[in-house]
Amino acid sequence: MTKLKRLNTIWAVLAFLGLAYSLTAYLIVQPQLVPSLAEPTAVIKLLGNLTIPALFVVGLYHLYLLMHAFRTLPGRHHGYFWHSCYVVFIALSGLFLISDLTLLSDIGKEYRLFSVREQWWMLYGFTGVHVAVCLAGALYSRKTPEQDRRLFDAIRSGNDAVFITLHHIGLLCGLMGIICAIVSFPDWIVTQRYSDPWMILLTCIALFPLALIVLYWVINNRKNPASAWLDEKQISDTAVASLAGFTAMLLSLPLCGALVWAGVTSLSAIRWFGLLFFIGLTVFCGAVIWRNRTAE
Amino acid sequence: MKLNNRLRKLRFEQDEMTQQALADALGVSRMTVYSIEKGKYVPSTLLALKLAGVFGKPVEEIFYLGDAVSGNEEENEHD
Repeated sequence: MTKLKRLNTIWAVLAFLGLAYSLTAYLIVQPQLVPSLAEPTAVIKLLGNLTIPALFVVGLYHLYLLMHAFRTLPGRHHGYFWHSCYVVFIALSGLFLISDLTLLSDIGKEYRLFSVREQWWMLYGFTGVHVAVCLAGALYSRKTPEQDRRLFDAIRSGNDAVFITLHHIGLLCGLMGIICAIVSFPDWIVTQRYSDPWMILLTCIALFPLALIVLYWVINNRKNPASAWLDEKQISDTAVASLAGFTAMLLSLPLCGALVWAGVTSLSAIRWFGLLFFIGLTVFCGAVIWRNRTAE
Repeated sequence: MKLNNRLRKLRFEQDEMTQQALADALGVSRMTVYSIEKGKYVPSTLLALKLAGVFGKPVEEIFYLGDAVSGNEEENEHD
């Protein structure tokens, strides 16, 4: 067994132990945490406190999977879309780990006064996502990188796989953002008072996977001139795609206006700006992929 | 007027060089080489000169002006 495969196995085992512990703790604690319980018992407190390091280990495994996914990009020749989906799901599942902690905290504070059933269901749902991602990661990360080239060295040398996958991730994030924006348009879904924070939250979640990869790119390339990040055709494709994205944003403005006039929504600035931004992002990334479609 | 090229022919004369090998030699992506070869992308002067350097030929022996049908017999072929 190679060093990398041994490392994969150790990480996977630790993550699954963490998830198994968390799930067991939830199942034990949930029936005991009833409004009549004035103060959580010592056992409940212990189980709750141990959940934090367990989720931390799962979070580290997510980070490991993300790094592995980035490293395997340069050697890929096809299947960019599915690899992008994999990266997006790891990033979102990692973000949901923070939600797990918030939900646990909410449950601890509110169980005496309010029903916390929905929080528990969300917790189980997110745990299901973590299990799915860790399972996929455990299987997928057994593949070692074909080329021992760092991701952004590969980008600098004009690697197709990295360039196209980046835009696939952008496309997925853009589509998620459009769906989030449209779903939260009708005023009866989220009341006016909470609609702006709701839209900001959804925007942050939708952009998180893209932000991660862009941040990593910027950090790794900070000492290089921007002109060296992409090759000339990639720059040309990006320029054409930018024009397409901008045009799509302009054409979408009347659509936003029509939604307001039709009384579908009151459309605060954050909501219409969010929608326009995600339309622009989706069209931009889609245009780059379209111009590179024959590479796959 | 279309800019045609003899890239594919030259690659095969150069020990059947792959598009990826040529891309690595030029420091560009394989897609860029593919697009130039298919006549879908017109390279910059710098890249054209780099190509000439890789094949050891003058630029005008690699690229030439002409109609698409008679100029590029390898139009529909690729790696």
